[in-house]
Amino acid sequence: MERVGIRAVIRGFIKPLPTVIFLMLLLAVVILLASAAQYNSEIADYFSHLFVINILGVLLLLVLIAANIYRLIKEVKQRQLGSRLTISFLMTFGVLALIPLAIVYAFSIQFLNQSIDSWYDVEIEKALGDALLVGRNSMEAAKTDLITTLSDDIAALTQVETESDLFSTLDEIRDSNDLTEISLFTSTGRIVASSHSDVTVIIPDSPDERMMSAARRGEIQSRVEPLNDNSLQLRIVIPAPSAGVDRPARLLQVLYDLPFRFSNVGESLEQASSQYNRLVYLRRPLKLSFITTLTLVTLLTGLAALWAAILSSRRLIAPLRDLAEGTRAVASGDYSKELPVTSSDELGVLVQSFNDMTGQIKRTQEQEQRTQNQLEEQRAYLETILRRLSSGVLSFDLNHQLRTSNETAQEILDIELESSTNSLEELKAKFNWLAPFFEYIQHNMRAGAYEWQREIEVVGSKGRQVLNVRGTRLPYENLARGGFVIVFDDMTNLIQAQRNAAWGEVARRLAHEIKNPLTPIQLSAERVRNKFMDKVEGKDRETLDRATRTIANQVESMKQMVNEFSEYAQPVMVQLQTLDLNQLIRDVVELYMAGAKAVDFQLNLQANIPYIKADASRLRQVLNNVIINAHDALSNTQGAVIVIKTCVKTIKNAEFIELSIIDNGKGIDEKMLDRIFEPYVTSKEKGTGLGLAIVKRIIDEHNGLIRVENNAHSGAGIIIDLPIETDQSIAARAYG
Amino acid sequence: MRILKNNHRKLLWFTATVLCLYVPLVSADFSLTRVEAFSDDGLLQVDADAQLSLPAETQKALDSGVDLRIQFLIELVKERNWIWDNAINNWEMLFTLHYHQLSGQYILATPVSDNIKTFNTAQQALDALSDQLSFNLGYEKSFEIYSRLYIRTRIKLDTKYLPAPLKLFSLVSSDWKLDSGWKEWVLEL
Repeated sequence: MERVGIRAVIRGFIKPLPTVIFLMLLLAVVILLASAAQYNSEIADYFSHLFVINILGVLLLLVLIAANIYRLIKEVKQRQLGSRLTISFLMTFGVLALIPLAIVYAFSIQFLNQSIDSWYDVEIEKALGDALLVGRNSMEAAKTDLITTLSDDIAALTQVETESDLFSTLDEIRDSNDLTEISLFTSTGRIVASSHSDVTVIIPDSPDERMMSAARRGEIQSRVEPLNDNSLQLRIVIPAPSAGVDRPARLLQVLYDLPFRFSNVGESLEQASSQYNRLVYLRRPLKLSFITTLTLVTLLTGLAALWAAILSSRRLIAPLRDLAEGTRAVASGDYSKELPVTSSDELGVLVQSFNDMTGQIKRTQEQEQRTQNQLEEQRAYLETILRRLSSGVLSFDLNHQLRTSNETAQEILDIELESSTNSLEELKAKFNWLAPFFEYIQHNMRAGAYEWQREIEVVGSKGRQVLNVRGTRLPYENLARGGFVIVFDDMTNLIQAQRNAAWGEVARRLAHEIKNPLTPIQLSAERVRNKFMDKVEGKDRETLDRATRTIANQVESMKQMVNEFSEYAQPVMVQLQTLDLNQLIRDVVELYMAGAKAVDFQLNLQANIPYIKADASRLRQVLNNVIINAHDALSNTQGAVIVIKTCVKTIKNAEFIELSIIDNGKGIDEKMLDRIFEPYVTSKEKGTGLGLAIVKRIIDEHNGLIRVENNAHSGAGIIIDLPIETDQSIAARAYG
Repeated sequence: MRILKNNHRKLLWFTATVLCLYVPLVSADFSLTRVEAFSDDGLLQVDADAQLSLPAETQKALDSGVDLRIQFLIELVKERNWIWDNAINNWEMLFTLHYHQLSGQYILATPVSDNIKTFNTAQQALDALSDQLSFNLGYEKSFEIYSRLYIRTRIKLDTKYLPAPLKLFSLVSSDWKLDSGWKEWVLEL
């Protein structure tokens, strides 16, 4: 926890660092701009740059704020968690920051205007104007005095004849009037003579062309000129007439440094006036500049505060939003969400606790998932075993609801166990032919027996079935875990096979034990007859004749019976070939139609039935046995009829030819009906009961089905289904 | 997203406007009518003529005691093909125009030489300034190592010299954008 706290503090310090640096830079630029806006600032040269930088700063902040507000609005529209709270915080921060700023700004503007206005005073302005006027008048008076004085000197100058006199006269005039320089020019501006108080100055300071031209027109030109040393100099240009008419007119220029008192006062006056006038001129720009700077600074500060408020709000709300999102994720079952811990304060601790909680839940969930996976694997393993199991398995819960069943169970019972019919009562009602099976299960489950086992006979679509049912109660701690498991096997084929095997053994032994003595008995009987027939007379001869004949007949009969037994005991070997069943039937029936006039044979054979692959001799034997049985059953029947029908039928996508041999005799006893194809089961007095047993074996070898049923009114019928294809898989598929 | 794009567009427009205001514009009040460079006894001399005048607002400021500083800029530039031209050397002549309230004279001062001249009007002072636009760049031979040289000159009001409150105006008002722009003279040495 402490480690997380330190990391959070470091992150909390580093993350807002760029923002803080940016805001500090803006603050520095604002301070520099405010400083540059001062009248005599040292950084005034950079005012323009700073102003532009500030404008860009404002612009950047505006963009940042606009982007953030747009994002916030979008988040509110999308109903993102924390967005409304962020706006509330932002508005609070904004109001708290901007309203005082606006008030300060308004007062500052007012104060600024008043302060700048207070610099200017009408009285001062008037006084300075008057002083300036006085100064100008004083200088004008000094100029007038000098011009008046110089008038006499100019007159003297016209009398000078020689050049040397001219220089000396100029010196005299300069000295007498305390002039700085006096020069004489021709009207074209050429220097005639000059005298300067500084002997090193050789070239006189010529007047400009404007003054010269005015002087040439006879005007006296004068002006006060400021000098480098802040003193004032009076420059006067006067037309100087020549002595003779033939001499050209000349121009006299005098330079006169105004006395120190003039210069000193004049300079002070000049500076004061200049500064005040400058201030007056700068009044509006100064106000505008200060107000602009103040506005810019206020704007920058306000926007920076607003931006900081947005960032602070987001930062403050972020953990809450994360927590809300995390809670939502947990509510939807996602425990993998880990929230970022950005601070070490109470919110940081809360977020860390949330992470710990979700981590713990996640680990528990993963453990549960692993357990679930293991259970699923075990379940899949069991299901695989159950699926491969040759026994049918059903499991019921304590409420007698079917929970699981394997495919074999459905195959044995020849039913489809749908998920909708999963109650034992429902199963019993839906599959009523399996009622003994389900009732036995229900009885034992209700009795709460721990284990039970019994053979149950059911008659369904597969005919009579013998099921060996075993039940076990499952151990349980609660309702969810308890229940019953039912395991059952179809014993029908096994029992039939056992019976067949037993009868085969009986037949083999019978043939072996009985057939061997029959021939000596028959031979002995014939020998007795041949030896003593001629020796006895009368009644004894008749008795001997009858007795030996009886012995021979009975032996012959027993031989026939033993042969049939042998035939039944021998495995049936079929040689399949393509044949037309209808034609075979016609051939067999033709023989009987010729011999048995009392019975009417009716053939109802479907035309163009497909050929089948079968053993013709075996099928002929089948037809013979069945027709003989039917014929025998019709011995005392008036209007005896044997109907033989063929047709093509489809059973579960496989095509069969159904052969029916139906008589209108007395029918078969219902008690024998289920066992009619077993050996020694016969209703005939002299029958061996092997005929139909052999028929069934032959049909089995052809992958066909045989069944017997009594007609509705009288008689019985043998129905044989022979597959059109001899592929065993098709037959197996069809009969399940 | 559209708001952001609009903001960006506005930002671009605003920046362009500020930059346009900030970049010194060529003014009709200041222009160089002639620039010429010639060799005088091996010395490379630049001589220029200018037409200078002050707008009313600038004249008013001058009369109110605001000094004006005028820069005459000279650059010796080497022409380059694929990138911008390179200024090999540059020179600057500074003139200050001041109105003397007491005498009513306009004083044209060259700070470097401490030479001042007085004039009755500002225009006279500016005309006199125009006559002084002559500058000695140095010995011609020292530039012979370069090829494809040209000289460019420019005369402008130095807004940095203005009082701070006027600097803001100088950014946005044409009265203070007194600038001739560059005028070139190809140098053949």
